[in-house]
Amino acid sequence: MTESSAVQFDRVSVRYGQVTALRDFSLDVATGETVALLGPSGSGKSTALKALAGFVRPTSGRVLLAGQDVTGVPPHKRGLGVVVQQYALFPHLTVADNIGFGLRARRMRRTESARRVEEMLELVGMERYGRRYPRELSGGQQQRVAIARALAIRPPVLLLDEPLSALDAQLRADMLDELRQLRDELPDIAILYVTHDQTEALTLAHRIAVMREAELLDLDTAQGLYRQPPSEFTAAFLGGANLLPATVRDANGTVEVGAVTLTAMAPGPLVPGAHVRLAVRPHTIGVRRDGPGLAAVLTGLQWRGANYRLTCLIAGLDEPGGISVHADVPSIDGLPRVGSPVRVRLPEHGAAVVARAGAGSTAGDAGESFPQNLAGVA
Amino acid sequence: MTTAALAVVGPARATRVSPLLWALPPLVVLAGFLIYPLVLVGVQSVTNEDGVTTLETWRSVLGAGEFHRAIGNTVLIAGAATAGCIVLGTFFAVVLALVPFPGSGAAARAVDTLLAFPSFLIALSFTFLYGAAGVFQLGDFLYSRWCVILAEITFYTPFVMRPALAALTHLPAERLAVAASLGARPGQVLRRVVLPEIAPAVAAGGALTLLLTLNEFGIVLFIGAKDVITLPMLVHSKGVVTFDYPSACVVAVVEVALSALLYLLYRRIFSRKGARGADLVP
Amino acid sequence: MLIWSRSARWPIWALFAAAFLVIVAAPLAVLVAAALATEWNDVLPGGFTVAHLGAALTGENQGSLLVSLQTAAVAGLAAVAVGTWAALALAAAPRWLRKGADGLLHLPVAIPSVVVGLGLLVAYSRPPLLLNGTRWIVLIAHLVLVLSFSYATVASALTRIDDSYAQVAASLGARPALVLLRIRLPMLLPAMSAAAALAVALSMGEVGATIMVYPPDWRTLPVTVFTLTDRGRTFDAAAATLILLGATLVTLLILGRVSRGRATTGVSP
Repeated sequence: MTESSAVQFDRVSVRYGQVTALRDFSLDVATGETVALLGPSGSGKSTALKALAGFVRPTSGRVLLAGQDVTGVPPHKRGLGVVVQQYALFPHLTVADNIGFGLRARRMRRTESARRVEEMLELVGMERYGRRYPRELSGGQQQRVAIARALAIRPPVLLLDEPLSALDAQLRADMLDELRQLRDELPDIAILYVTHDQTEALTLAHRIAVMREAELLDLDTAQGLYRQPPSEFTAAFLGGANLLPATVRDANGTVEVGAVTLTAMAPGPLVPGAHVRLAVRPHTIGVRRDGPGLAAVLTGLQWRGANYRLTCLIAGLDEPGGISVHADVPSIDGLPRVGSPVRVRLPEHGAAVVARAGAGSTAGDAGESFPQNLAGVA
Repeated sequence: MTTAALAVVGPARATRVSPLLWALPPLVVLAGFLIYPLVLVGVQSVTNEDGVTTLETWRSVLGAGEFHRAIGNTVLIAGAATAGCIVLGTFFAVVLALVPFPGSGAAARAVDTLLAFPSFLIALSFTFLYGAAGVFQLGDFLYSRWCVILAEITFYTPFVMRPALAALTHLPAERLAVAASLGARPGQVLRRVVLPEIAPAVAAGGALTLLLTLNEFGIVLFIGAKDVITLPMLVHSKGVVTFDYPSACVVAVVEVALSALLYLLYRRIFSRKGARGADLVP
Repeated sequence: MLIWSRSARWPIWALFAAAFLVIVAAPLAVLVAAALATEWNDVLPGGFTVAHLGAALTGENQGSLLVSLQTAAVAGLAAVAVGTWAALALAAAPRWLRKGADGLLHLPVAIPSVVVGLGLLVAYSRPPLLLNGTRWIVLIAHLVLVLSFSYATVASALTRIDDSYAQVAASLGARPALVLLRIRLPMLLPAMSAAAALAVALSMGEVGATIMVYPPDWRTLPVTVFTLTDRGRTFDAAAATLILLGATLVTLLILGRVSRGRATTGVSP
């Protein structure tokens, strides 16, 4: 495993005084692979990146690059490409000098570094901007320069810390496309991408590491995490799944939610009679005025252009106040009015049994311990 | 988090001792040219001409009427000048920021440039304005405390006006408009909205002004009023006019003690104001 | 907008104008007029002459002007160097040291300049270091007095510069020395030139400490101005002060031009 790993975190912890910013973090990133560190702010994802770059020193654990322990190595000897949130383009240097900074720091000959800078400008489509200064560029252009500057030193690993967070929504979507193209053009590089935005993670990453409260919670391919979320937190954070209490009928995935029986995907054999949580994506839920389904009351209705987001309160289900679920339904005529009784229809297939309550989004289970490994998840 | 991160980078970059070593040279400069001299001033104040340690100088200096008058003058002048600066500086800031007129920007800059001028300039021009042969021909006014106070108000008003003006630029215009639309008259808006907002800044500016006026020397020296002796003037006359170093040192120690007390107070107010100011900035 | 009706603004403006005239405009105008006056025994000067200005630019006065300029240049440069060093070193220092040293570096603001001068006199009139009677003691006094301001200016600029610039530079392979030279110092340059301007302005007008320590061969212009007023030559004193202000403003303009020059090279054609 170490042989092919470009990056390896080995039980890394970082503490600032009393505060633990990263706890027991282990992760391998292979050459050519993009891994997204996804989590809310304060989840430790940026700290992990800083520990890898050498900006903070782990309190314990090791950081390895291509199998070499670099835990105590200063940042300037690590040779990584780093792009930070606000880009930190050097304001007193031109675009070309910014991109060439790492090359000059390595004492590369002027002609050669000029050639490399041209190459990089071309790579990010900024050929005509070499003599400009950072403040004369738009946000998107600054971002491209920051990436070109990081790539100019031909790093084996590229670290991107929320690179799109400073951009507005439209530009972010465009840049996301560009980043994806760039990723495909750089097959020999390992990319660690820190973000709090699930769309960015789903679009760019081969694998997603979901972070929460200074710890790695779940790690899997984007599709795997989405279809079969291993924890309630990931189910809700990635794709905003509804979590419903269910009772297992048989080992093959037949479960009951209230009076409704359905077949759900499960990470492994289930124990009949057990109480589990079911992750149900909003777009798979149907809402009708009547017919089969769970009895509920429509409590909210939002028009979102392509569809409506309905909020329904399902009574019963062993929850004192009932359970609120979101459903995304196409814009059809004859929607029920807010306050009226409705029927919530769960999908026959497609719902997933969540293996762990896993430091979930519901209060009260934070104290329970769950296995940190991912055994049992298909 | 950023500052905490910085603290962690240190040891990663080099050994733990090196930040201390780097901080040493400037501190050596300060120790040699400020701390060491100040300590010697203290030592000299309890040492007589023959090198014997004694409190005799302290006794004679503190007992002299001239010292009592100097302390009285210093405190009175500093207090009155500071009060004047607070009133005038606040007034200037409020007019410039909230009742602007064509050219108010230039007026603000003109007041600002006063900061770059030496204080004795004011005293010098006062001799032409208020001297016996000057513009206003006010007789002995030039040599009174009131003239010194007026000169110090003139010079130190920008020290209050600047922070007050800065605080006012942070005050959203909407808040005044909303207060007015709710029926508050300008006087009420000023009292209930504007003044509370700039009070910390004015307090900090006022504390600094008090400190600087207590220490002011150039204005008193240049006006040259024989009856208006302040503590810094006493240090000067005992030190380099009569060359009585021990007595000069006694006065200096008193002066430093007074200033240090105020300085600690000022740093406390200022750092608290800074913390609150940081919260106000989005 | 505090006062909404235009008619109500007039009295306030009138009050402001009166205060402004007395407090700010009159002293400056009077000083300029006095520098150019032949005599002044009435409300207005008797006549105008450039003789005083001429006198202020020749002989002893010219010497004093040069002394002041040199003192300001040396003390200002030294203060910016020491202040910048202190700001950079303390930013990386442990918290206890940073707080303590920061208080110490601000101390000269709180101490009367006369006492700083007296302290230097007492300390350097005796072994191991005899500096009393030399120009060095004047330079040291000025350095101590302006150091606080240059340190404070650079230190506050440093806190506004994000750590990520230095971090990114390091990640690109730059050793700490190179990061300092190519990234941190250039980014601090505007603050350093502002600090230099402040130091020069303060040093040019310094009188309290200088009058305590100056040797006969190193008399700054403010001290000369005082000697002139003391002898009753107030018109010459006003003229010398005007020259002092002029020299200060020219130095500040040059410093401003230098820092802005650096900044505007940033705009490509």
